[in-house]
Amino acid sequence: MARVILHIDMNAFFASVEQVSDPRLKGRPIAVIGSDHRTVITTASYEARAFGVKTGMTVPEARKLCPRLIFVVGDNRKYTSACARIMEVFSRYTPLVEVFSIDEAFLDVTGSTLLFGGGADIGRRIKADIRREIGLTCSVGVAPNKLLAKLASDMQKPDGLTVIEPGRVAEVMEALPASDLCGIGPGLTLALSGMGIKTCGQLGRASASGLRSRFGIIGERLKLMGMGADDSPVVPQEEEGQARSVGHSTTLSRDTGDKDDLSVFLLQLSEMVGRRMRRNHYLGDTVTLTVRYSDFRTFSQSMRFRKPVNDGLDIYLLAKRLMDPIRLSMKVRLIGVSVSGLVSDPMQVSLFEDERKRASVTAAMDAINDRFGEFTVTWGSLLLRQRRKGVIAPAWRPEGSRRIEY
Amino acid sequence: MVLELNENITVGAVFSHGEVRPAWFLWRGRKYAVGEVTYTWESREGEARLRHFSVSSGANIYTLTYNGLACSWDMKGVEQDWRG
Repeated sequence: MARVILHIDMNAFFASVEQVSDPRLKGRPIAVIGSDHRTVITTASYEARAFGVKTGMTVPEARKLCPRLIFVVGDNRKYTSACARIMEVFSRYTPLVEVFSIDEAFLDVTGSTLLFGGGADIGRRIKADIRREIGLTCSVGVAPNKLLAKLASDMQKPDGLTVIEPGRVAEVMEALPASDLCGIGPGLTLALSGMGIKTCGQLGRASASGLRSRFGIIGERLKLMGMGADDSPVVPQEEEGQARSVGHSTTLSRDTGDKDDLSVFLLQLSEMVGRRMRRNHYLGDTVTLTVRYSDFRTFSQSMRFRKPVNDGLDIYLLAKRLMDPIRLSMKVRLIGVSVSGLVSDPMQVSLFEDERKRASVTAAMDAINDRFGEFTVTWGSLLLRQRRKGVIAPAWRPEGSRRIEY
Repeated sequence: MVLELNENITVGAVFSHGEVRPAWFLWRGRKYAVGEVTYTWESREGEARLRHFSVSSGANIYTLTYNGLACSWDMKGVEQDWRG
């Protein structure tokens, strides 16, 4: 029996939420930006896209293309709340929901068709529920696998519903540019073009050995993609494997080469990482410091602990040991801290009194911050740090270790 | 233009069937009638569940936040009419 997979893509998600929130913005070209003066556009409404405004553009670039563009400072709490409500709608139709990003999800509704009708019917019901309850539109792709469902949802935007029937796959793929497939980026497109492959039809007919010798292990996968084949399952969040790392980074409000300034950011980021690890019962043994210079050159350095930790101070001290010997060649734009080598925290009580005392202090701080909000109790050196509205991480999930409260 | 605020205010609201809907609010010595609740969203601050409301009153959009734990309302921001 063919699977029935839906891919649901919220249309210009952040901008649409803002247009619902402030109806005066409906039908207007708007761009959602961060609160920082160095921000870039995170989402543009379809009205703004018509002028060529795109994600990643700076404010002056966008204003040049569309002088009447309205800039709205985004609020991640609005978007994460909307995402959680949308996920609740999905869960009415199937438990098999894979959150692909904050505005995209795959649903396996194969087992739900007797209850709710075929894939297209379920897609229409979900669209109606989201529009009625949250006021947003989405594009739905219905197909026998994830690759084709994503392709289908891209075919009609905004507010579309496209079905690729199992019997029509070869016909749909024949003239479709290979670059339309999720996972085939500009580099791969160029390389395929060099082999005379421009369409999915050509890719599907290409020799597997030729693709393998050119692209290695992914060669055969490319051929299958060209044929519209994909057997990857929809993986609900609770079945996702353990996180590999926990990290936070921040773009500084102004570039700086002052290591004292950078140390304060390191402490804040380390505390955030430690807190998230403790909440999800992880310990980690490797700290990685990431530094991006003002010219966007980026490098990372890592160091291992003798034993795994999840205390923000331990993470900070190691991150600082990594930073101290670095001779900064120019001012820093972004700094990040992550911890990898994660294992489950066995919650073992230490034999040593000073470690037990520190663990007690950390537990007390966690309890207070759980009750009254993040950074209610923190290091004195962080009190002068102003909290800013950041840009949401693509890895955000409604639940679990990737959920970050703002 | 958005004016970010954090002022404790008095709100008249209707609680019904598990839902809450602000009807009017007193802010800076004036009473404002809520025209439309244009959007709602939730967040947490520690144990407190915060429910945020974008509401229209006159030409402006106001953000009101209800803290269920503290039983209090805050005015979080005003988006003044950007056409003005």
